[in-house]
Order: sequence, then structure tokens, then C-alpha cells
Amino acid sequence: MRVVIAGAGSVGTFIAEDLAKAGHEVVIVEVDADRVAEAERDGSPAGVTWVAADACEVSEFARAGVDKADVVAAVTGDDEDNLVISLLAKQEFGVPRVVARVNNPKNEWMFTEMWGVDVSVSTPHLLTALVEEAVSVGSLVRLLSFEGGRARLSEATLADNSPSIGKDLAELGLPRDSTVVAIIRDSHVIVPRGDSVLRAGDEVLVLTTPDAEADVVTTLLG
Amino acid sequence: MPWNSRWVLKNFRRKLTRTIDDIDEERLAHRSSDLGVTRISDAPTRTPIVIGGEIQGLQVVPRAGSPSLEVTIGDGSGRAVAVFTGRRRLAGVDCGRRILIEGVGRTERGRILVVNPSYTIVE
Repeated sequence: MRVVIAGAGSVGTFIAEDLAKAGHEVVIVEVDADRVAEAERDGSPAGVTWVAADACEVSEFARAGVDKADVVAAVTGDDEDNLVISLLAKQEFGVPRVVARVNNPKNEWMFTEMWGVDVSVSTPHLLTALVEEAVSVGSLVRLLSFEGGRARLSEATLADNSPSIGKDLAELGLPRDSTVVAIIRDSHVIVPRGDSVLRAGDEVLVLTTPDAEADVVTTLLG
Repeated sequence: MPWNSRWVLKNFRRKLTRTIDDIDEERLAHRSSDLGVTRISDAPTRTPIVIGGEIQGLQVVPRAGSPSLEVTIGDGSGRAVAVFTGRRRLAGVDCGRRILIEGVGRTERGRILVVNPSYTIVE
């Protein structure tokens, strides 16, 4: 897969290294020519092509071979830049998948299809979700959302008095637009089947649409 | 039966059994033949293209919470959709008009989709 990463900060460099190791063709676009020269001199990360260009400028961005890219990741430290890069990638180069980083959670509402973003990643929101996950038993914690918010991965830790305890998944009757994707019990992952029985303390991972979420909460947690 | 009356019959049968879509496609192909641009069915994706044809439908669709105008054009070889984000209407862009659009296309649900292209109204 050909991946173009815009922004060679710690995030961009890390992703590039990871993807290059996994055998993908990775190009980093960075506006700071000194940074590019330094990276090329050090030869790190290995197997990554560097292009000194301003990704917010169509003609310069084209030099990174975006027209052949399968994925573009806009991961600069600036939300405005990330939006512009996403829009250009989608509109001018027809990139199938555009991933963008949200720096300030206040801007997250703009990272949608309107700006060419397929998937947005907001580190602060992820952190809140993970902190919540650690402290909350008996409530639903949203971990990730996909497809512009049309699908969510949520997690519920079952309390001792949850109504779902002792029932198997088939008799639980979860809404049609939701499914249990994993049950974590004593740090073991159980692949759920219709006859898997829930116990107190289980962490249940549910994939759900926003509409079905309320029903999932009532069914699992009461 | 002489050969040419067989041909006449075959032609007659074809005329009787053609569907409305076939007739419309033939009309569109004829109408778009003088535009001198790439046929929609031959248009490559992910490179800048110019395609043209008759506007067959206008639709305002919510995309990510804000309206966008989807203009379907056909030239007899296929259909393409031009999406204008943040717009409900564009002056002069109406059904039945001929239009040229210029942009980078991608395939979505089996049709070519061009986002925010530049456009020229031909007639």
C-alpha cells in the first residue's frame, strides 16, 4: 500500500516508521527543508521517502505522488493545515482513504466528509475514553467511532447487579443494529457466540449505531 | 424470403423491442457527440478529466450534516455525478442543459463522482 504522510512531527515520523516496517511504501511530506535534509542524512526512519514540500499547496503536494496513494494521513500539529490537506487529497487527487489528526477537540466537528476526512483521530478524546474506561463500572464508555460517527465501538464493564448477568447473548435480545464483538474476562479475550454467558466483571465490547446505543445500555446494564 | 426483406423485418423487430433506456441512451450519445470530450464510460479515475453531457437529475443531499448539490450527467455511455458541497442550487444548472465538468473523479457505488469540479454550461 502506498501511504503519504503529511507532517514529520513525532506522530508522523512514528507512523511512517511503523508502516514502513510493515512493508508499506511510505512517503513523508514536510515543509521544513532542514528537517528533511537532516532525516535524509541520518537515513531514519529506514525505508521512508522524504519530500520537502508544502502539503497545503496542490502543485507541491503532487510531487509526493499523492495521485497514486491509497491512504493520506494528515498529522501536522495544526488543525487548519490538516483540514486543507484532507480536502486537497480527496478533491484534487481522489484518495480513497484520508485519515486526519485532530489537535484541538473543539475542532473535531469539522473533520467530516465535507472536508474530505474519512477517519479522524482525536487524541484528547481517546484519552478521556481510556481514563473513563479505567474508572467506570456499570456504564457504557465510547472508545472509537467509525464512518463519521455512524458506528461506535463502546465498552461496558458489567456490575454485580447488571440485568444481563447469567444470560447468554442469544437470549439477551440486543437491538438489531448492534453486536457484541468481544468479551474480556480475567484479561482473556473471548470471541462471543450465541451461547456465551455473561458474568459480573466482564468487559463487553459492543459495536453499535448511535440510535441503538440507549437500548444496548438498558439491555446490558439496566 | 429475400435477404433484404429479412433485414427490414429484423430492423422492425429491433425498433419494436427497444426499451426506453436504449432510446434515451442513443439520443444522449447523439446529443453529446459534438462535445469533443472523454466519454464517461472511458473516463479514468484519479487523474484530471473533462467530461460532458446532459443534466439528468439534480438532488440536494445532506453530506455530513450540510447540504450538497449532486448533479447527475449522462452522455449515452454512462453516468457521472458532480457534487458541489455546501450548495443547494447553482444558477444555470438545470435539468436538460448540457454541461462540461472538469475535475478529478473517483468511483463511488459504481459511478464516477467528481467533487467540486469546475463547470461550463454549454447550452
